[in-house]
Amino acid sequence: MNWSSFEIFGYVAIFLWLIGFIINAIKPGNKVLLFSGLAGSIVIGVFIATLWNYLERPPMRTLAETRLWYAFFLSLIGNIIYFKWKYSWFYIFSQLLAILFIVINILNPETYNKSLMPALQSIWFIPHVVVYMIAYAFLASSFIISIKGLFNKKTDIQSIVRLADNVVYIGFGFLTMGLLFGALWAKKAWGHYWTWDPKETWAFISWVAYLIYIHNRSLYKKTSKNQLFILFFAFILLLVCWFGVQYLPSAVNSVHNYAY
Amino acid sequence: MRNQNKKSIWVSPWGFAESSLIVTALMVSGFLIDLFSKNRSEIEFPYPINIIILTILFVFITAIFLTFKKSYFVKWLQSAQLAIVTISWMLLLVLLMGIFKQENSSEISIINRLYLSNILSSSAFLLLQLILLINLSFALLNRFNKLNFRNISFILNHLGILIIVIGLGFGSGDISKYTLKISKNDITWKTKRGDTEIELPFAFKLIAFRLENFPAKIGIVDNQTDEIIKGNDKIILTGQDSIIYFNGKTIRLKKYLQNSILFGKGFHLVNEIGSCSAAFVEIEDVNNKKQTAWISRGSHLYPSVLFPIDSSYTLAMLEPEAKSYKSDISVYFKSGDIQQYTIEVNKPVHINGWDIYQTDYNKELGEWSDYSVIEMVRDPWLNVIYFGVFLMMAGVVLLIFTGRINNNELV
Repeated sequence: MNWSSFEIFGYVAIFLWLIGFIINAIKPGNKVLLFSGLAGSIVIGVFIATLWNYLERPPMRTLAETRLWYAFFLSLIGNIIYFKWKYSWFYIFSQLLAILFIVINILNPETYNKSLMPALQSIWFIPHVVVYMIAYAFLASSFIISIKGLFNKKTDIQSIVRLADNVVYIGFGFLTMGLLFGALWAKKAWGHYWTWDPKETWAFISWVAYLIYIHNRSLYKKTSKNQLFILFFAFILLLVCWFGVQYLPSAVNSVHNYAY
Repeated sequence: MRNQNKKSIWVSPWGFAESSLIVTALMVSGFLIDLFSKNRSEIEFPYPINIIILTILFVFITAIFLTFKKSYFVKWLQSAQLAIVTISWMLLLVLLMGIFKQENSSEISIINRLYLSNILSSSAFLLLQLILLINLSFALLNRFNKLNFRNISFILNHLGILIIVIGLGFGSGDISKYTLKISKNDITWKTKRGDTEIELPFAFKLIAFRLENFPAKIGIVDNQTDEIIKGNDKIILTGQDSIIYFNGKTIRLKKYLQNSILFGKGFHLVNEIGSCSAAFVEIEDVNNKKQTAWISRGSHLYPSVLFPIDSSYTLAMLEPEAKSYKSDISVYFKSGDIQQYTIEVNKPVHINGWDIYQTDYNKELGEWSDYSVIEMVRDPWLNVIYFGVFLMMAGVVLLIFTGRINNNELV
């Protein structure tokens, strides 16, 4: 199965998630929507598996490929959080974000590219990317939560910040793992564990932004809107790291250029 | 922040305001030092200076902690307020690094004078690392002082970071790294650093360079822009019998040859220097009229062969991408021993404390490259860094599992 059949999978997943929205509109808090929600994630998961099989390499190299993983993990986290705490707004936002990424992939199918350059042929490749995508999905969840807290005046700040804490700590843990895996891999591939390549620099920047949030939370137990601002801007920095680095003047000679 | 503001500034205990003022003042003075000092040389501490400084620093820090651990000043040095200000400045400096292109430039401009194009060597960044080291050390000493189970994640993470900061800051002067161009004809036993010649700990000779390419792709070039049409996977041919539909035409890849040369009317398989990849394609128009053609990427010896689809588009073979490349090398030891190794990207070999990497080759000649570029690196502090990394990994796993989930009753 290659990218040309992605449209079908994408539309089916979107359709399933939209059914979840309708169920929620008719009967809020109903757990039936978990079935359609999970089914949507599984459809994307199946596409990833068949694409992997077809490409004969992990589909983790190009941005379109990472968007697939992202939609998969994000929708999964949306389902888990709904299952655990019945936040239907969170379900809707995370699924909407997953839909957005799928629509981007439908509109911009990437140049079909089967080759995997030697630098990426390593046992570190899969753990590094998967751990990062999980981290990005959790941190996107914290972004959704921060928007809800910042723009919806009726929100109870205390409970929203505590909800954010739940996803940030897990997301930050995975983000740190991804960073460290990357460093160990870089030593094998490029001879040094940290070279301040632009992508590394921006990975460090986004890591530090969440580090500030965590230290701020551990110091000031009292919740405040400022803490949600940190989460909001931290995710913007993370997006620069993910999509924006290639447009910066500092990235002309980046060793991560294959990812674009 | 609100409860901190109840007290006037500079009255103990110091908090966020004092930390901000002190660290900011240090950062500003760092930048001023760089602006007004002329041609400051890079600061590096090779062995044994690094060990001596490090020992003195830690004896000093521990002594201060043990003597004054109840004082407000030591409490401030270990405080999370100081940590937040320090890492916020770290964020700011690294952001500058992420925006300005980092390069070693001798051009005299305000950006270079302020080290904005070389943040890592700026005085402000060095000072910040020192503050971080002091802050982390005091915070850790404080936690060690009242060790309990709840502190384990904190200690693993912060000790890991401290060890990494030390390894990076004090170990960089001990790293030796040489890039060598080795060939089949000569034994490489020395290299140059600046104007001085350095004798290598062992010598190298290339036995064979082996490169394997992925099958080259065939794309459509827009004659006006001279660029490959992108953005859709349906207009790239790759692999036997693949098909693309373009401007009412059906283009089919009938045959693909990895190593071939043009002989007579077509390409034939050969295995010799300069042979190139070629493809036999069939183009069918709306009236089912068929045409066939050979196209080729060419090589350093032969020109490329294109095929015009119509007046504005041309079928062309793209540069083949390397699948793997490796070098078989002989290593000559001073003892007289000679040993053979194979080095490959992502698979360096370890010889007497040195890691040997495959890095480059003669790109123009591709698989017929006449040399191989290898890099040899010795980093005696590597295990220190690894130790820090593994402590952090353990700490982070604890963080993922115990983070906020367990002790959060509210949600």
